[in-house]
Amino acid sequence: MKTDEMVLLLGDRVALKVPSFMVPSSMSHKGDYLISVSEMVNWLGGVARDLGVEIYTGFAARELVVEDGAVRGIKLGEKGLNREGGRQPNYVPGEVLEARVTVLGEGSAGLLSEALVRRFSLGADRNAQVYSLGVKEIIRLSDQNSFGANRVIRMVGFPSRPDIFGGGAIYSMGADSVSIVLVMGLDWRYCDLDPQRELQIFKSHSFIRKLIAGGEVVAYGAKTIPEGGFYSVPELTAPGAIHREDQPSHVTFSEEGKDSGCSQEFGCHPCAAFCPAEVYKFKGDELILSPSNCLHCQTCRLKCPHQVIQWRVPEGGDGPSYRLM
Amino acid sequence: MPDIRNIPAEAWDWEKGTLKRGLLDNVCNELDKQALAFALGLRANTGGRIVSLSMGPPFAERVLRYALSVGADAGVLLTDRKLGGADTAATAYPLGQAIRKIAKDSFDGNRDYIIVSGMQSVDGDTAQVPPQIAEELGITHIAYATSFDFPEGQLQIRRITSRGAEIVAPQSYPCVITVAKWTEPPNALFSRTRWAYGQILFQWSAADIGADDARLGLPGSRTMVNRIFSPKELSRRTCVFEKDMTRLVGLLAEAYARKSKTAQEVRTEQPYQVLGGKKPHYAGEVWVYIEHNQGEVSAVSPALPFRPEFWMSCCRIGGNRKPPSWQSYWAAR
Repeated sequence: MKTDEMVLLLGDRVALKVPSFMVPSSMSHKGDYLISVSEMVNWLGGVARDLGVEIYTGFAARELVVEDGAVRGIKLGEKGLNREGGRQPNYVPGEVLEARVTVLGEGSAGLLSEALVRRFSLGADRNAQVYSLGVKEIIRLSDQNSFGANRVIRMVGFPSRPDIFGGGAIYSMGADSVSIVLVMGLDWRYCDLDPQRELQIFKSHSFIRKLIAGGEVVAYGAKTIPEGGFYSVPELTAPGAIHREDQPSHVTFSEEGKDSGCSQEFGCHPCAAFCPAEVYKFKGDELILSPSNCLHCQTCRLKCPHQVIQWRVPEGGDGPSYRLM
Repeated sequence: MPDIRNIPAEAWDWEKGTLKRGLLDNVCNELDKQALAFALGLRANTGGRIVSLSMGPPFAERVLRYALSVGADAGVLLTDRKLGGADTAATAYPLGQAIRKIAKDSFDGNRDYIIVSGMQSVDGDTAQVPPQIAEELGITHIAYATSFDFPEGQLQIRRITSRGAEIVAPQSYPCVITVAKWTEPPNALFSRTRWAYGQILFQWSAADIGADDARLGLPGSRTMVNRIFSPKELSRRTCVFEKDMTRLVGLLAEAYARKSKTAQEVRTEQPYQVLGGKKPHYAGEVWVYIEHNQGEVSAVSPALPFRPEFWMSCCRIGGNRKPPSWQSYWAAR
């Protein structure tokens, strides 16, 4: 990163550059490297394989196996079940993988990590974790774009209301593409706030509109970001297990959630708004679920006001296959 | 084959008319998974071994690992730069040669085997390779199988026809069976997957299968892609609610005339753009595959994208008999 600017967006037209002396140096990314996480993970996978690490995709870890007070491995999810849970001709059971050490790399808000934290009280004396949601698009610009390479602009203000934590950024992905991202603390209090719509409003600010003029969206995605900071990090080890970040999962409602009456209570269906992937749609009060849209960001599980959405890793661990993000 | 369910915009090379395969995942063709399930089902009834065969770049070995992980006994990867850019004929020939080698090396001359394949690849959609393999090997070919049965110990195949379904039995072995979507794709156990990745695959080059280089790859192909394009909407669609019958007929006639004219204009405005200065040329014979069904030409046959007149003339040459239903078939299109 050769340039790192901070800009305050006021209304949908005004953009004020914050003088660099006012930006704490710990917040500046000048001189840092910017890497696509998807590309890095693909590359790293190859490096690991070359070192003899066996990597198998297409298997979902369903639960921790805990015996005698220690993690002994994980149980995989079964495959080949139909919608009703009946066994199809291609059914295979979930096997148990035993290990001396189990390392969890589930990404933000991992289910097994949460189970581990609960089981071994690893979060005792720590702050509760809080999350924000980042929605992002990668936009291909023309070869003669004015944005250029090795540049990041971070923005605060528009379009988020003052009571919403977060901000946005636009940064180069090589010379002809940019990533544009909007991050919002998941504790927003508006039941109909749609993060994807907010991102589009963000893009409509005249300052940003000029930067991305003529561009074409080539990829998009969403993920939650743990925001609790150091004091929310649980103990990272338990007997037999190490907890690390990275990886994603399916959607059901708990029994009591079938009739949670959100529309009477809030006048709208919050999940139809907060899900950045349109997994939840409503025809009147009838829910139409599209789990295959799921981006595995886990916003639903964290943001559902009645906490009735149950989410688990789908069969085979299928999820969004990001290539550029 | 490349995963065409999710093609990012940057994976298209519009100038060359090709896909940048490096930007797409390499996956097992869905219909070949159906073929694997079919082979596994046959083996459960008859015993025997399953040898999986794939032709492609070295990274295609993952597809063979998948086959092993769901139950295949051995995997053969046919990989050679000479095989690149092949059309269906130049794909079927080396596959046929590889099958000959497998039969010779692995089955000790026993000809009691079945070649099972997905009915088509979901990226190319031609459905030509398996029948061409059967022709190459000079053996029977049963297409569009959806299930099998063994009444009184004899294999019977249920297959899709243009009029529904029929049950046939192979009269001789070996034979080729191509499989349509009929069940769920097989899933692998973790333990078996780990085993599969530890197995050694047979890796053969063009020389290993004793192939004639002149019949391989781009030089050995009989067809080439001239141009690839997205069909463009020719005109904006409008809805007209006309209750007067005479005026409605007038509108239809007008629209029809306008459409014909537009199509004509497009044809003259957009002549073939030839890639790399190569002019399309024709050399050799035209083969037309016409399927018979209860004494008539099956309507499935002309489903290939040829002009109707061409098919009519082929039909007259081939059978000297005009299928009664064709005109209505094309009119309906």
